[in-house]
Amino acid sequence: MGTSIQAFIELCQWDTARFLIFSDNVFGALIYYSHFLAFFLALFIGIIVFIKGRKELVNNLLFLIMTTFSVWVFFDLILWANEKDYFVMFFWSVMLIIEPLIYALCVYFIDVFIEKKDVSFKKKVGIFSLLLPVVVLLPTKFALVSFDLSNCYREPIEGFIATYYVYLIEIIYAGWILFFAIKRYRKSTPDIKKQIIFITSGVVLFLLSFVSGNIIGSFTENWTLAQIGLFSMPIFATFLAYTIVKFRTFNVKLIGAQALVWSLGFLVLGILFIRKIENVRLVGFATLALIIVVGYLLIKSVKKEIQQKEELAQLNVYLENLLKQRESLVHLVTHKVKGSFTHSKYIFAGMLDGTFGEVAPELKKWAEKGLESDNVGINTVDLVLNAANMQKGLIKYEMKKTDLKDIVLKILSEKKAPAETAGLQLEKEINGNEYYISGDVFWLKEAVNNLVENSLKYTKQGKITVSLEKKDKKILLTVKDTGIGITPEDKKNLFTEGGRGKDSVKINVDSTGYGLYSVKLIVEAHKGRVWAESEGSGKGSQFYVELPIASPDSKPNGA
Amino acid sequence: MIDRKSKILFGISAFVVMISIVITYYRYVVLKDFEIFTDEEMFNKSLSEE
Repeated sequence: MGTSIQAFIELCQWDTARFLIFSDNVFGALIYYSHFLAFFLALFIGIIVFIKGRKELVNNLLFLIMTTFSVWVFFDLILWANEKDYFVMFFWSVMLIIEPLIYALCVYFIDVFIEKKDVSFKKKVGIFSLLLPVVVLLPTKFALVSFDLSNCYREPIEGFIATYYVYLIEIIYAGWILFFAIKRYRKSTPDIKKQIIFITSGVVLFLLSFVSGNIIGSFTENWTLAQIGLFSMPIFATFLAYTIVKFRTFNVKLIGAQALVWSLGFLVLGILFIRKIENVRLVGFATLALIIVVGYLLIKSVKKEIQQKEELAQLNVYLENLLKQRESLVHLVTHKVKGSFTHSKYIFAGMLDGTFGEVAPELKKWAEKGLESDNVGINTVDLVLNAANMQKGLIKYEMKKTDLKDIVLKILSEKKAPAETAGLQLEKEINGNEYYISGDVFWLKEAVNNLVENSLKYTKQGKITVSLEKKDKKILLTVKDTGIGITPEDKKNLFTEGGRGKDSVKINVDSTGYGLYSVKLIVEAHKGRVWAESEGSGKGSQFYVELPIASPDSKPNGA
Repeated sequence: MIDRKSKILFGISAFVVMISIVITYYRYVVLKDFEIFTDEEMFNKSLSEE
């Protein structure tokens, strides 16, 4: 060799790169445009997907793929721009790991997306162990042999790992993806099949555009044309993100609109730096392709949402009308029914107190039963009517400082006789403390009454214990019974309108499903909460009402 | 999300990759331990083309 290496380097007249990537060694602005667009768009998509579902493994994996890809794009730009042979050797080496790593992550991603769970440990070892020879042999001559200066291209001479092994494992990974997708496709339902087609085509096209740059460049020696791969990668990355969006649910419009703004921004920025009209055409074409894809997805999504909103608005109007009709029907029926019950109640009462003269003992017995039945009917109608009024906000609560203990004791004295008749013990666990709350005495009585009544109805034997205690500025009322208990299934409907247990009618034929619902409405109007606990069917129930303690300056009852 | 065993696997893998990259950096950037291949005839040809 007649000339020294340094002389050769000087003869090549390479430009010195600023910030690793800015130099005249990059022969066209298109290279910067394709790389910056791919870098920022991939990073942007990755971050959005991560933010929208940071707890989802599939989102985290797409984020990892996108960030790894962005690093690859950045390193690739360094190879185009940087004149330093040692940097070229180093970044070229690192890219030998990054490229198959993206393939490996795609295998992991597609498996998690389709199976909806993490892959097994064995499979993970299988996926990533293929990368091990690249990692271990990276600093050796098996990866890169030397730096070729012959044609001033700044290219390393590749060893066995770079020339064969990396491509081999990339083919294995691509085959793995296809084999897995086809296998799962055959076993899946039509809905899942659609998802598999979407995600597999997205991943495969993404990986194809990834290698297309090298293939096109190597075969045609036209490295401008090779940039098409980089342009299409963000499109397929967007497609992948869209697939997650489509089958997972988060706002596609926002991502679409932002991606569109970014791509348009890059188009303008790119044109500012391009001098040749041919390059403007190329940049324009690439951006147009991006806008068509993203714009189509965006318009489709917006159209779908508008359609859904219109349907929802129509349903809302229909529902409001139905509710109004139901309310007036409930009022009409309950008033009519209550009127009839009251009318017959006075007839039966008149028969019993002698208003209609002397009545035969047999008839008196029937009159007593009739009166009892009328009372049950009137109570039921009152329950439904009260619940409907509370729901509509028609009840005006007169909030006054009142002792919950007085209310509980009054209800207990009222329920003592019915409890004894049913053969049940009615116990109280209340000490001498005061239990002041701010509330409406009438409606609080109604709530406590409904709770105790409920326990009386659903307890065949044993006892009902009512207790009061103070806990953290709250008063806790507990009604505990040894009754039929609550199944987890029934628990969900317990405090809902008309919500009854599966077998409640078998025990209590008068069950309306409005008693506990009224309790809930009353307690919530008093800024409290109500809930029930039970160990299950036949194991008794505990009903809890928690109400805030009245502030010392509250207005006392009757004041 | 990811089990403990897998986290250890990823941790060790990331560590090995980092070590490999650091050694590569040390070899190429710090020591500049690589050969520069030059075919003088080809080089001159490429220069004359420019």
